[in-house]
Amino acid sequence: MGRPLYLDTARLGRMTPYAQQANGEFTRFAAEQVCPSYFEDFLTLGAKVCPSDFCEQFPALGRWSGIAGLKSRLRELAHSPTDLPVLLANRSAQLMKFAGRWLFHRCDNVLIVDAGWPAYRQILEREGQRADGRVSVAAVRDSILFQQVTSNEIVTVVESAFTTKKCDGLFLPAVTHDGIRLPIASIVKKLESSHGSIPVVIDGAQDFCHTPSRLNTEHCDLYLAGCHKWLGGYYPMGLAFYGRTRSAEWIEMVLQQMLADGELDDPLLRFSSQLETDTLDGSTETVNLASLFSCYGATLDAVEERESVFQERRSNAEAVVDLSRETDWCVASPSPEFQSAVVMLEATDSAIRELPAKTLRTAFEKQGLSLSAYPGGRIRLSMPEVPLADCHLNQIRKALHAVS
Amino acid sequence: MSDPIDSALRQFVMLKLANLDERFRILDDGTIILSDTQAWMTLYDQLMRSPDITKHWSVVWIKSADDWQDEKGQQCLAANFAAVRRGMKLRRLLIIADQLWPKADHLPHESILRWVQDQNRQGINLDLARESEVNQESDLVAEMSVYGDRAIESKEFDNKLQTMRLVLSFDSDKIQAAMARWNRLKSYAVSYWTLLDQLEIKE
Repeated sequence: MGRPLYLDTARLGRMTPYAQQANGEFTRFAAEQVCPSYFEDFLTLGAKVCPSDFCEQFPALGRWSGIAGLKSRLRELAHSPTDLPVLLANRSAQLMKFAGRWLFHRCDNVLIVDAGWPAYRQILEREGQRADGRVSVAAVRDSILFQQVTSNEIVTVVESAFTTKKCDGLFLPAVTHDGIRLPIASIVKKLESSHGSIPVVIDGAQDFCHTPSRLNTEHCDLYLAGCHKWLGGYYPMGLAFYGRTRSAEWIEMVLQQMLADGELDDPLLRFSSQLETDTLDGSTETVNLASLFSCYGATLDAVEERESVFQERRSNAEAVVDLSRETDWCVASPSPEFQSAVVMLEATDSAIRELPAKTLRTAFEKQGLSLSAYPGGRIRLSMPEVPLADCHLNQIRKALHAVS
Repeated sequence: MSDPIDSALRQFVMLKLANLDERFRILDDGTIILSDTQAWMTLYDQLMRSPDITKHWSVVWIKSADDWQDEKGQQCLAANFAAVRRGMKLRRLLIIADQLWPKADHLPHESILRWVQDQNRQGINLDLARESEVNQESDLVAEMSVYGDRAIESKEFDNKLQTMRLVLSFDSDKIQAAMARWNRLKSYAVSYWTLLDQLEIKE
């Protein structure tokens, strides 16, 4: 059996070619040179401090331009202004904890939507409880996925929930794990026009390097993202972008406080901050750095202007939606403004709906498709950036017929 | 004062102030009146450290650029910042004299702007109002602090507008009235964040 057709980027993206090369070279470097005296300078300043034959031996690592260079490239991909801070962390959950702590520094009641990532909601709720605050929920998911509501209607639903529940902060996914692309800018604009400036944190895990959105539209205070999905870095690494005039120093204060108190326990976050500020204290624990190089490699493969790539993915999605309608699978079809490169299908057959998610996933794998599966017979297909050939579409059609 | 917790808090405050008995007195209804800065700082510090007070609202009337620049003001600010770092939410509404925030100016005068910026930077949620606008309802132009749902502190001024004495009450009706006053004041105020956002758009 050949390699399965990979449609599971929303869970874990395929490692890009440059990320593979950088990762392979880092592994070889670890075996051959381990940790030479110039390594710390290499991390900080890039390959220019290495011996003259370094670039010849390790051509991909030779393009490493230091932590600052990596951050600069990440800013370019997020379309974030060039001088704004970027945080790197081994664990995204630590950055979410930080985001929650900051939100509840200012807010009593943070509004979320019912389509957000459950683990992040739990972290936010914990931070709310700690600060005598709470989390309120606006129900948008089902109406978007199954009732064809418009973007304006969702903005109204969120605004209404914000008002009636007396909320004073916002935490929203830019793209949900179901692939719903929320109209973040419109929601924030509407809320701020009626409630004044409010703290906004955006979960960009499914947005970063997927949609053509731009962070410089100034509709959030803190944007969280990661490297292992649409960027294709493979190794998990959390990212946080911030820097609005109104909130940057406040966010920085909370960050420093949490680092000082040991409440943010992330080796890479601490290490990268210390490297950049030349404040390495010698007591930092040994840090796994592999994600830095694979991420940097992936950023070199990634394109900044994603509109055409996104349209290519969307064309694939439309083709898959069309063929799914010929099967026993029910297609979630939101209005065009919510659509992303993710297609959600739900089994109509009760036997399939009762299958454990792992069994369902394995069943599709046997049919040559790698995708995400959930309880209740739901599957998620993430579209590749290259056009799906007829043979691929036939393969998907055949698999959907077989597993039904 | 039927709430046993509030009784305990009041008792605690009284004990802390016991060695300052010349400078404070307690009325029959439990109200505490202070006429001494040291006594007030002792009280303020204890209230801000009280673990069950998680929110603090204050209205500060800035009449001149010197306000809050003295030692007491600096101590107060340091206590505020420490409270924020411990997780307390501080909301502050600044009533600013018009000569320090002329109507033509987007932000207050630089003589107080750094003080304002420091508070925003350190995590105090700020609203700003011009005195002339708040003056439309004359009873609103007054300083106060509300400590969670537990206590309200108000200031009484002499005829030179210098703080003469501070009055601390644990009366829930007075706390509710203070929060109603806060909400009325908010209608004349603009969030400091909104001012900064507007500045960003202009730039």
